[in-house]
Amino acid sequence: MADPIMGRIESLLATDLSIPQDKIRPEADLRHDLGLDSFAAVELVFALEEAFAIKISEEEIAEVKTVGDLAAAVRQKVQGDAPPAPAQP
Amino acid sequence: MARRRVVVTGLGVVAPNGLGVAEFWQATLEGRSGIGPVTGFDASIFDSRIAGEVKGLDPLAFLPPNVARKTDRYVHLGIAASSEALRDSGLELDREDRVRIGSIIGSGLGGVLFHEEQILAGYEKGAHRLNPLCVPRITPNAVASHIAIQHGLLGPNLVISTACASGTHAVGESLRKIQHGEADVMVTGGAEAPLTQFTFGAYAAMRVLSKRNDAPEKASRPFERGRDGFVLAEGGAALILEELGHACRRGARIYAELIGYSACSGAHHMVIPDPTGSDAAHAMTLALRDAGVGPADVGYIKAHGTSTQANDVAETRAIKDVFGEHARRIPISATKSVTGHSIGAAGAIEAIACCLTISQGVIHPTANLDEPDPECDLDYVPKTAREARVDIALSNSFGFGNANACLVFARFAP
Repeated sequence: MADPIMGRIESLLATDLSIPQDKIRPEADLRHDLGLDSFAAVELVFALEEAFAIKISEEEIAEVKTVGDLAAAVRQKVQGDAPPAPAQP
Repeated sequence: MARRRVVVTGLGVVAPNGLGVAEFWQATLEGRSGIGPVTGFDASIFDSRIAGEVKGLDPLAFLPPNVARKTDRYVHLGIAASSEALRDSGLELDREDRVRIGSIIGSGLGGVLFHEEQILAGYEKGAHRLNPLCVPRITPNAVASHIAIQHGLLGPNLVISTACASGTHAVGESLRKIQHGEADVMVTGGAEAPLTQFTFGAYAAMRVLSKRNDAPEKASRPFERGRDGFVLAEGGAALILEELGHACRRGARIYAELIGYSACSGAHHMVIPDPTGSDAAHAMTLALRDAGVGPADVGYIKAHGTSTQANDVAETRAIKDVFGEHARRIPISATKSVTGHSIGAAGAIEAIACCLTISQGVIHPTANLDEPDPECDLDYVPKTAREARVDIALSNSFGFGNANACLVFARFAP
C-alpha cells in the first residue's frame, strides 16, 4: 500500500458504502460518480477524522468534490504530525 | 352504504421459532419453542437470562448493503416480514396504482439498539460526534418508511406505538384505511427488536420476566399454574390486506377476511390490567359488534396469553364475561407460549396464526400447559394441535398502558 490515506478512503468507501473498488479513483466525484449523499459524506469525514486523529472543518468539507480532494484535505492535516494510523485490511 | 370488505392475501413472519411462514407455523403447531439463553449481549447480571431471539436472519437478503448497515435491527425484521408477505401475495407492484397502497406497522420501541449504541458513543466522544443518520435510524416510524421506500408505496404511511398491542392496532387501523376508501392495499404488521442490554434491563426492572433460566423452552407458560412472567422476544410479521374487489380481480389467494376491530383503553394503570378483566371484555365485545357477529359465532380465540400472573387470570375472566357458557366450548390458545412476547410484533404474529388457523383448519396448541392455574379453567388446547373448522377467530392484544385491541377474522365466503 503506497498511500495509507488513499488506502483508508478506499476501504471506507468499499466496505461501509458498498462502492465498487474499480470506481474509486482520485478523479471520481463523490456525489456524481460514487453516489454519496450529504449524509454519507459526513460519515466518511467522521471516520477519517477518527482514523487520523484530525479535525476537518465544515468549510473544508464543502470544498471537497472528488476522492483526490478528500485525500488532499486529510493529507494536509496529518503532515508534520506523527505517522498516521495504518489502514484497515 | 355497505362497508368495503377486506381480505388477507399475503403473510410474512420472522419469529424466534421460525424464519418464514412455513417454518414458523410448523414449529408453532408442534409446540416448538424459540426461547433460549440470551446470546446477543451479556445477560449474566440479570435474574432473567432468556429471550426469544430471531436466529439466522440475513438483512442483506432483503436490503441493499448500504441500507442494511444504516438501519436498526427492528427495521430488518419488519423488512424481512413485509418482503415475504408481498411476495406471498403475488401482487405485481409495477402494475398497481402505488398511491393506493400504504403501510401501517406497529412497534412499541423503535430503533432502541442503535439508540443505545449512540448514547454510549455520545457520552464517550461527545454528542457533537453522533452519526449523522441518528434520528432516522432511531425513530419508530423508520420501519414503515423503509417499507415504502423499498417498494415505492405512496399511500398512508405510519407507525403505531401501543406497547404489546401495537401490531394489532396496526392491522386494525389498516383495515379502516381500506374500509374508508383511503387505500386498496395495506402492508401491515409489527416489528420489534428489544433485546438490548438497556431495554432488557428496563423490562427486568418491572419484575415481569420469567426466571426459568434452566429450561428456557418451558419458560413461557400461559395459563399454567407455575408461570412466572413473560419472555421478552424480538420478531417481525406482516399481512397484506386488500379490498375484496381488488383481490378478486387479480385472482389472489385469500387466507381469511378481516371483519372486525376494536380499540379501547382500560384507563386503569400503566402496567397492571384491571383485575376484573372488564376492559378486556369491553375490547372483545366492541370487536364482535364491529364484525357483526355474536359470541356464539366465535370458533377460536387467540389469547393475549402472556404468561404473567395478572394477564392470564384477567383475560380468562374477561372471556367468561363476554362468552358466558359458550366460553367453555371455545378453543383458546396462546402463541406466546412458543414465541415469547415480541411486544409490538406480537399482535401481528398472532394475527397470522389466526389466518392460518382458518385457512388450514388446525388450531395451534398452548405449549407448556402442564397443569392449569385453577383460575384459568377454559379450553386452552394444551400441548397438542387440534384439527377444527374455524369460521370466526378472535385475536386479543392487551398492551401496557391498558391499550387494548382485538381483531376478528372470518373464513372467506364470496
